[in-house]
Amino acid sequence: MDWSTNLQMVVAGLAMGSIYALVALGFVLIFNAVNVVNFAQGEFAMVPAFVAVWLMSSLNIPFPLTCVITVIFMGVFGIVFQRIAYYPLRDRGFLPVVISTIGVGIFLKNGAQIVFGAEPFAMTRPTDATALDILGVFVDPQYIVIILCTMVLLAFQHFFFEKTMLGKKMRATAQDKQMARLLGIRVAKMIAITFAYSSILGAAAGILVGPIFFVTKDMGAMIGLKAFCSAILGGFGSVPGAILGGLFLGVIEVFGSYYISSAYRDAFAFIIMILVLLLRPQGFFGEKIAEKA
Amino acid sequence: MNTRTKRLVIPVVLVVAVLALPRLVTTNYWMDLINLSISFAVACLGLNIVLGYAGQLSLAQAAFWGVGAYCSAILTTQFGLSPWASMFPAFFVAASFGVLLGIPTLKLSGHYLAMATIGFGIIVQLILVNAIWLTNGSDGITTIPSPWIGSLELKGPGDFFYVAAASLILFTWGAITLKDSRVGRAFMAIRENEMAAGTMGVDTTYYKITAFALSAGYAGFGGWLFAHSCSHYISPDTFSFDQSVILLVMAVLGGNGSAIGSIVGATLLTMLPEMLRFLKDSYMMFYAAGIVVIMIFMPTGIAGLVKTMPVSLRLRAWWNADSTAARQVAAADSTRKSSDAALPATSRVCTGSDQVLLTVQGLAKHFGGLKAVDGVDMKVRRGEIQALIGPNGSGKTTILNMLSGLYIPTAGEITLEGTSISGKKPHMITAHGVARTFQNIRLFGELSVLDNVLIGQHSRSKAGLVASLFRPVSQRAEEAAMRKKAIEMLEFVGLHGKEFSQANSLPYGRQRMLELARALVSDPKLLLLDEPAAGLNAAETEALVELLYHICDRGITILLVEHDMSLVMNVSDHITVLNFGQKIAEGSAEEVEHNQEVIDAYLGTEVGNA
Amino acid sequence: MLKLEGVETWYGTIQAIKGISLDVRQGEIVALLGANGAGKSTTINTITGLLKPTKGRIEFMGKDITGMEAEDIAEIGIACVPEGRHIFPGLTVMDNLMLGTVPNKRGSSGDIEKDLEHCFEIFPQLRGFKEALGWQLSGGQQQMVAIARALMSRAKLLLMDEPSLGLAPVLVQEVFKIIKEINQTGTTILLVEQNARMALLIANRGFVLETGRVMLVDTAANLLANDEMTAHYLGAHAHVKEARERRSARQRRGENGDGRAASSN
Repeated sequence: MDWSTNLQMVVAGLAMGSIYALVALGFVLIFNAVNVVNFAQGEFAMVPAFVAVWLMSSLNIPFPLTCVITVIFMGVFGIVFQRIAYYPLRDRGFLPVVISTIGVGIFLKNGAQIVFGAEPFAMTRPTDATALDILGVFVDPQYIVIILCTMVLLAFQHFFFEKTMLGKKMRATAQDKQMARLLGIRVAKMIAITFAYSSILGAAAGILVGPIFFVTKDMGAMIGLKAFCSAILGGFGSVPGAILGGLFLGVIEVFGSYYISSAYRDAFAFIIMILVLLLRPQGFFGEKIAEKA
Repeated sequence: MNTRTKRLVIPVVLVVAVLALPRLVTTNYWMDLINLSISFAVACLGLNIVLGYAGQLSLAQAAFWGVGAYCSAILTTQFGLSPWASMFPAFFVAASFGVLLGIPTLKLSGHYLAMATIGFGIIVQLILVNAIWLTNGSDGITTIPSPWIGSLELKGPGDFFYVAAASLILFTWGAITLKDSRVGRAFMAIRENEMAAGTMGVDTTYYKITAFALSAGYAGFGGWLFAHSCSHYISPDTFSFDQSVILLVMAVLGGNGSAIGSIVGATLLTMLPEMLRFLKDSYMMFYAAGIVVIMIFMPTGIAGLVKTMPVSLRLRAWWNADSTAARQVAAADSTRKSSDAALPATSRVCTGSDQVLLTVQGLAKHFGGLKAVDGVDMKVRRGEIQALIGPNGSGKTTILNMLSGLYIPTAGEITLEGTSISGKKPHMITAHGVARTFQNIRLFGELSVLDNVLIGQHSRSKAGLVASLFRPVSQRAEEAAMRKKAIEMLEFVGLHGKEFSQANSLPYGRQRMLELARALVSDPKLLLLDEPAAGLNAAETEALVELLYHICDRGITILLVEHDMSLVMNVSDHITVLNFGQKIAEGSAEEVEHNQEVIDAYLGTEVGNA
Repeated sequence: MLKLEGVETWYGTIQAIKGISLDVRQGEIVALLGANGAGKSTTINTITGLLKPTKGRIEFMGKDITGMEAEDIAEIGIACVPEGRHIFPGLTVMDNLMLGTVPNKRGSSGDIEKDLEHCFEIFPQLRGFKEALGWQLSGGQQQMVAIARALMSRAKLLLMDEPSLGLAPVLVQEVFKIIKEINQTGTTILLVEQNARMALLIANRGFVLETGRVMLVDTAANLLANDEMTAHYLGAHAHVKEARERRSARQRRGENGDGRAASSN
């Protein structure tokens, strides 16, 4: 057990965990706002990855501008998604919406294949590809980029939700829709913005994780499912829970894969999720911090 | 056309279709597709049982399909078992996996259940990929043998079709038969309103696990069909989460809850993509877009759409015209018309006795720091009508919930005729003779009026899974007796003629009556009524009062929670008044009316000098 | 200021109010009373726009607001302190108060400062827990925040649904005192209460509902002295007494007579 390998794994775990956290946050925000589980959340990360790759490779747009365009695109995407997949079904009980979001997910997956072809894409890295030497440990710089960017994004999100009026209105809508309406808060607008922001979180995840794996139409599926596991781990509905759940899961996966079995790497997330559902269904941050957005 | 000839129509049509089809389909390609559709259809029928009938969202169906396929493949290729023999392990091993999934997920519902099933499915697939010593991993298992009949190997798709078709007919028959049986009704009760199902005597734990097991078994058999037909090759890729999703879409497209719908859905979604292959890669996109469109515009699926078409309504009427149920209803109608119809005005002789039926001692229920019920003692005497009243938040409904088993008391004892029932599960308490109605009507909305009342008799009947499927004489007699009693009860509450209407199509007042009938039909000793007059107009309340008297005449003790004071004062032999979770008064209507504490509790008190 | 004419509203499949007409004049406190299930909360929910009436008309300051959306009604000057308070559990008290200003579109930040100060004057204890989260507050604290939040909107009409529910008697006294104070600074109040006596002590007029209809209308003083009030709450009407007498008579006959029970079988 040499500690430099362990440190490498912690960094890798935190990086993947950050991705899970971002996507999990997307789930949780939508769930808190409209009580719906969006089974296409993984595709919310896959689509922007493709868009970014295309912008950079085919149109040679520099990375910073690509990010801006992708983010704006996903914001609009979120609003359109909400209008098509959620809005017409909002009063129908949860099965129709689940199926509808699954349908959109499949549509996006295959749509991506048609538009961009079946070959996996390599996303150009924003930074140099050589491994960084930190304290004698070699680390993929993209991991550091992921962790840092996620931290910045979460800090911004915290500020937005805690300090701005719009953020408070959104949280109020998620916590008590009727009361929000009584206060004159335009609930429909808040919901649209929630979807848009949730898609932007997906954009961040997609752009950040793209350079590590190849960008393929299937990349969203597993990320989405594992992000869901993270949210359950942290307590479904809890914002800090989603973040911590994601990080925790990322680290567990890496360590489990190394020390227990790499073949069953994908299983860890689900085994943990099932255990949590059985033993402590409210997750680790369930009831106490029932903070919604 | 008499009944016997009518009943022969379907078998004859089926036999002809099965014999004719292979001659009509010319290529092996299409025959293979048909066999594949059948394999999916059987799995889909299974999903229909757990999701359509019992309302549990399972996204692991492809995993069970895979378990069945692999089980049979391994047994036939590595152990030389004949495919005919490996059929049974395929079904039962898959069914046990179903139980394995069902048990831990009992307390989950909705998206949590969906996620747990997804996780389960993915884990199963990972095992299939990685347990190479057993499953050959990603290489899959090849040269899976075909079944033989005598010296004929059923290798070609046309030959195998007969096996597939026969199985499909068998399993469909099973699914349809199940629906109209005690077990099927229990499933649907759970789907419609799990809480009410429990208080009607349905052991929800047992039935949920059974649903999972049955549906997994179906899928397992579908897997058997898959393994031994088509390409005689299986690999783990096929049994993925995506495949479970496809099965779900097939079930929903066909119509959730409809067995035939599942077959139609499975066939369409197997054939259509093949026929759309000319669209090359984009056919999945159209298919996916189609799903969303269907959800928005056609949520009840194809079956739902067809059901409302006049042609099918007439067909249905013709087919059901002389079913046993219809005949019993008609018979009841004619006897009623020829005898004295109206219920005699009751003399309301029953005034209660001194025999105590129910004793409540020191009952308490705390929710965290909130003391909803804080040490209540009560006695309910046999044959009386007692009312439990009190201002908002005084704990009345909480007490009813503890009496019916929906809440476990934090402290205290509840004794019914000497037996303790505190903390017991709802269906056990029903078996002891307690029935209840709910404040906001928990009927099994999509089911017929008759079915609602039949479910009410669940605790007084016995037919299990096997009896429900194979319908021996004892089961048929039991069903007929239950129906007779149900029809009588419906007449008693004034709902005759409405037996086959859908429960939630009834006007509000009638729905209340139906709920009462459903509770009464279990022959309770004690009837708990939660705000039975809520939402009733003056005339309906009058009718309710008369009905309560008739119920009392039958020897049933009534405990009711009610806000309509006129009703309470009119009807009750004994009144218990609660406030802030404690009993503040009890006695006859006169006594309570003039009790200053009660008046203060309701009108409020002047606090301090305001 | 507020007028309801023949309003009918359905709640699910039940007709909860069956033709209610009432009015609230500027500067008044009007009490809306009645037993549980009488339709008081449904009336409030209809006025705020959360429920839509199927018949009838609602007029506010001369404008027809029947069927308007809740968000719009909040903006024209009707604020609500709902039953159960509905403080946002995950937000701080300050956040809750600030959200109260949302409907007040024309307020400047200076006005908001002033309004906050005003709230702290009325509820001095608020300063002590203004950073606490909603779920951490006790019932009494939540009630204070809910009322303050409604005040922040500078609404002209304040609807209050069961402010005394779940509060200890001492706090109930406090709350009613404050309601009276708020009214004296010019806010019109429509007050729904189960504790009829407390409500009538501070109200000008009262409407008593029973099963969805207005049964009694009078000044508060008259209602306090009226014995019929008990009847409406405890169902002790004359016709009920008669029905009871009839039943007892039948029972006695049944016991002393030929002993044959009338059965429905």
